[in-house]
Amino acid sequence: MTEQTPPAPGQPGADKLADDEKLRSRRGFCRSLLAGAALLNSGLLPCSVAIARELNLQREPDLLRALIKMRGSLDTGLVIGWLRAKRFAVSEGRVMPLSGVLAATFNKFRQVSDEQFSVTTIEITHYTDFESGALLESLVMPFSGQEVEVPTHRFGPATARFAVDLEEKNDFYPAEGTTEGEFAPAGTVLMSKSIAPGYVRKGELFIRHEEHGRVYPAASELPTMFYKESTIWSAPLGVVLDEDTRNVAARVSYSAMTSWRPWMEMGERPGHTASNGFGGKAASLADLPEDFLRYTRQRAPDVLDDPEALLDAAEE
Amino acid sequence: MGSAMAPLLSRRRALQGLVLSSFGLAAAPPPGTAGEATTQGGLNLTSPAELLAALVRMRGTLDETLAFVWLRGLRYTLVDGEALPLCGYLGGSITRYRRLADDAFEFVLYEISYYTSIETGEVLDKLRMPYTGTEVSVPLYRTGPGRHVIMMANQEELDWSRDRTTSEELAKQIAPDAKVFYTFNVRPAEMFDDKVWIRNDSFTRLVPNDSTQAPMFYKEAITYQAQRADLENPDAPHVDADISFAIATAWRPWMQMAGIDGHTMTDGVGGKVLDIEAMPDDFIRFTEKHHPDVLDDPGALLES
Repeated sequence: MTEQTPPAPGQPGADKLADDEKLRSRRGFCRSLLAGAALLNSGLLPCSVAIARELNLQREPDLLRALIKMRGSLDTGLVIGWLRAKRFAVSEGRVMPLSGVLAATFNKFRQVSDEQFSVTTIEITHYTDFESGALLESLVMPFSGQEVEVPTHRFGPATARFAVDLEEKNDFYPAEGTTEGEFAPAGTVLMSKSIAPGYVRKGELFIRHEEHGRVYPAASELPTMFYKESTIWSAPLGVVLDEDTRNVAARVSYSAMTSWRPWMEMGERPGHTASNGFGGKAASLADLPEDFLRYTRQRAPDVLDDPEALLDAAEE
Repeated sequence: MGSAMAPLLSRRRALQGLVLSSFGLAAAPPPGTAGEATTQGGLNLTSPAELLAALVRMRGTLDETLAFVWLRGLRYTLVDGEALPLCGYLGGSITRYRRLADDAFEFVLYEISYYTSIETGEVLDKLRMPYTGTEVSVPLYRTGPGRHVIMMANQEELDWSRDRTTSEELAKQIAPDAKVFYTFNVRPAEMFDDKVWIRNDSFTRLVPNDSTQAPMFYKEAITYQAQRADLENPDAPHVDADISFAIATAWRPWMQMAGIDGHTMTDGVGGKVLDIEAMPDDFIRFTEKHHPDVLDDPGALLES
């Protein structure tokens, strides 16, 4: 949900593509999750909900629709999600606080087929002081002691896809005039996405969505990067199963790990960042966390003016 | 939770943790969004004492009755930027809290964890590790009772010895004899949309007495979410809470991954119940098979 590197048009940078073995691993990653009865294992998931007007979560198209209802919408209206997390730096078995993470996405979903949805999205992520929550301008990186400038992560409008099992390979070039290059260099992006079978507890449905991306920079001297994200969406089972509902109020648990970003200036120091937190959908802009709105008015006010117009312009 | 090193804290060390409070750690006011954490319903989470009490009401109970927490997640290996699913994780804990002071609670903890097959959901006894291809035996994790102290902030240093656990063999597979450095922090409450989130982070670094062995680490972040209205009821010793968690941990000895530069990570969700029979069905089923005494009298385990 944050700092993912969705596909964007651009020139190819394919000189460091993953080898076949890594591609096989990525496929295996998705398959093992899909085979994962682990999250079904208490037998609580309704196996006989193939009643008219209800989703049957044993069917992949319905599992996808359930996730889209929770994470987005079956309709094409504006969907807003927010996230609050803490980020740590991890290096050689040591863990240090890095920052707070405060993000929101503005999305328009569209059904492509029974097996696939697309989403046009704008993502704004603010990095905040770990303790005070104040918006960071600069930060002394753990382990390196280097003071670095902290950019706001603004991404999109960009288009991404959702499916129960999805492998994507795209070329990425940071858009001019944006901070995108501070988060990933130009290169080829391999992305695996998967939706695990649901788990039900006390009438609440939990669905896990996984994203694992690798960036192979066009500049051969740059290291490869990775991004691994788990989001677990939850909402009342009955509301999600109801075929009449298109967009369900849902909560999300978030956990991610990512390579050092270019703005962190960590060079070849071993390690990565680890973040986790929580969030949910917001019914409107006014329902976003107050501090997110305040920081976004400072750093990206146009997004708050009319996010839907920005998304519509990108879709045209 | 899980295979944390925190359960290894002895009472002596727990009390030493209390001593730390006199140096100001435990009395530190919650920083951050404190001003936003005050409600019209009488809940003042800017107060460390109220914040700590709210956390205990989410994690357990204030009235010293038993509480049971379950966690369900997925464990991965992370090596050179590649994340591969390893196994499912199903953890359960038995706890009893007792207030020691406004800024400190003691709690007794007993933990049982299962590593499960991603494909079947059943408890694993063997597992083929990625990268090495080695088939390893997967231990049943059971430890306790451990007596601990929960404060706003705590730092401890202690000795971990395998003869302090219920099983020396298990201990050997979980961690070697070592010096343990442990930190624990309660973060400021977040309040939004009629809900309250309180997060605690712990980090443990274990340095083996045998210097030829690699240090180990365990990082855990657990976030509890409750309804603000529930917490505003001053007469409620406990509240319903939803849990999300993220764990990163060094390879355990049983994984036989020495020499592979990487670690595991686990994330998932959980909840709290006040009757062990209300734990998830698969946890009950596994426990009936592997640790039936736990179901017979969980309270007795905490007194053992």
